[in-house]
Amino acid sequence: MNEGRHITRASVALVLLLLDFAAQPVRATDERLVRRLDPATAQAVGRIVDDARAAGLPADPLVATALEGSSRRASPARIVNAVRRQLGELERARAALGSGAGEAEIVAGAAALRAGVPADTIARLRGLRPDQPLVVPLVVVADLVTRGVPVTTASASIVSALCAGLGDAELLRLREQVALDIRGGASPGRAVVLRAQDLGLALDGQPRAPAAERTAPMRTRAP
Amino acid sequence: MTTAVNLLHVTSEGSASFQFTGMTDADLVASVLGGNLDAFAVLVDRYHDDCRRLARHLLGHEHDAEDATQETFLRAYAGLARYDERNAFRSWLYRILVNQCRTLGRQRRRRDRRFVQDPEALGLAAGPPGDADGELRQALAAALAGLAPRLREAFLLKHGEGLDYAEMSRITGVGISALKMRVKRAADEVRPKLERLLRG
Amino acid sequence: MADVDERIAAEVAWIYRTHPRPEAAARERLMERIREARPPGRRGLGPTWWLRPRAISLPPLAWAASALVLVALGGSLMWLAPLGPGAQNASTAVTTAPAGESRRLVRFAVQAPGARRVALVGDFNGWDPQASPMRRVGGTWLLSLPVSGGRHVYAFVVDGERWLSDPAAPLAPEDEFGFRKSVLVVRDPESL
Repeated sequence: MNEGRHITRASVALVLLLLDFAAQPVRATDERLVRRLDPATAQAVGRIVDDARAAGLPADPLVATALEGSSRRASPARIVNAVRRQLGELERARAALGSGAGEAEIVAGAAALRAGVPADTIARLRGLRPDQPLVVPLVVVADLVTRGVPVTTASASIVSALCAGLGDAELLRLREQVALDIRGGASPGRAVVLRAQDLGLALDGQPRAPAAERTAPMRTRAP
Repeated sequence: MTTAVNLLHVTSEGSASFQFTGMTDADLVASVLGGNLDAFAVLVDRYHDDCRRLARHLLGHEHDAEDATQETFLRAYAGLARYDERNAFRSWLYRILVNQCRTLGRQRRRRDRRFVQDPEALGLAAGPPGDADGELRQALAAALAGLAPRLREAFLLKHGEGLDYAEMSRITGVGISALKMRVKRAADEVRPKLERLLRG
Repeated sequence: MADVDERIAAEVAWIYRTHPRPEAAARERLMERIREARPPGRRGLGPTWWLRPRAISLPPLAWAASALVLVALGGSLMWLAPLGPGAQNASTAVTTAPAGESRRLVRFAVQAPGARRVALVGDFNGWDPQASPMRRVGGTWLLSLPVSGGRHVYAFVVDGERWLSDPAAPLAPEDEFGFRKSVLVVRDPESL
């Protein structure tokens, strides 16, 4: 009983916080929210989702986050915060990727931002691969950082990989090898540096050799 | 309408390697012994490139290297029950590989009477004139090719693979002090050939 | 002389690591031969085999997940048992989509020999632990589901309460709810 009142109070506080007292009609896809969340939270999340749609941003990931929070028994405040924060990340990801970005790219970009990858790294990746999906590079860089690779090292490795024209399969392989190495006890940053070197990459965006004066860049691909 | 996105679990063309990526080498070995061939494909995926690379640098010939590598994995496969999981799988594999390379190297030397490592084939083609790095690397590749096989073997395990002497000893079956001697002699032989370029 | 040697060592390392480039075709050629070869003899099932200590080092966060994946005495016995020609694989995989379908069939798999029940949760099923119970084959839990193209996140729920990421998959960064999910990227079927 006590608990029930507590939740209601929190929900009301949330609604007030969002400074919108008008009741919104519940749309079809929001039924999932209504089924799984208490009414106030469902409404709060629903409004953020509407904002996303109005801005042309993907709505499904936001709904999914709310449902995940519900399954994890998170508090309403935490759920709403999570959805709000994710909307911000989607916006920034789209800004970095450009308006032509696909939905999956935006979602992957948002995750990369959350992991700590700088927006201008994402923009740089877009520039290196303007006509093909960036989903896998973004997933890989986010994964590396999440596993403890320093952001600069992880970013440099993926930028370098795209500069060298590596494809998605090779990026995934790199990720897999690094994950294995880390599991085997290697330090994350070092694992990336070594595996990148195996592919002929040096982590400043230029393929080259260690500790030597450079005149012209060496060819690093076998003919 | 979602944009085209690529398949996540493709780590090599068409093979089953994307499965089992969470398993340790010892787990995979157990799985193979339990009848699961796909687990061996994952081990191949993990170690084939590295083995091929070592073989290539030890033997100098692409086809010999592939033969040695194939033979290594076939023997590893056949003798998998003998693998002791207290040792690293890589070390066990390298031991087989080094022996294969020794055998194949001997056979080829009997045929050819010299070791020819083609820097072109290794992708070390010279860059534009004045490309100091390229010249250095060509000279180094040639110097390595001129080494006696045992010296080259020790030198590459130390500086190419980056192994410590204990590991090298397990792989080669040679004592640590003997290995140190071989690495030193290799360096003594290679150094004068590069000194001019290193100073320039 | 020492720095000359260092320079030489560095250049050797560079040459060594960058040549030759990895080649998938060579791996395939090898696997062809492996498939034709006689399967290896089975290891003797002496009493000491599974009692040998395994030295495994994992980053701290992985312990919770790998507690289920690591070999317990009983678990290792399962892996010794022959799996037969229809052997189940231990990790998630995606297949091609039937014509005209907008989704691809994804097989989710995780090793959890000690679990009583495992459920798949993800953005494709509303993170509902009741929606997609997995079925058990030996020490592996499996489930196939049609999933639409794009980037998805998912996890496994063990015994109704422990959330596990997929050890084989890329990780998503930690979310608000204190968990790092797994990422699945599915190619849009129309693009193939």
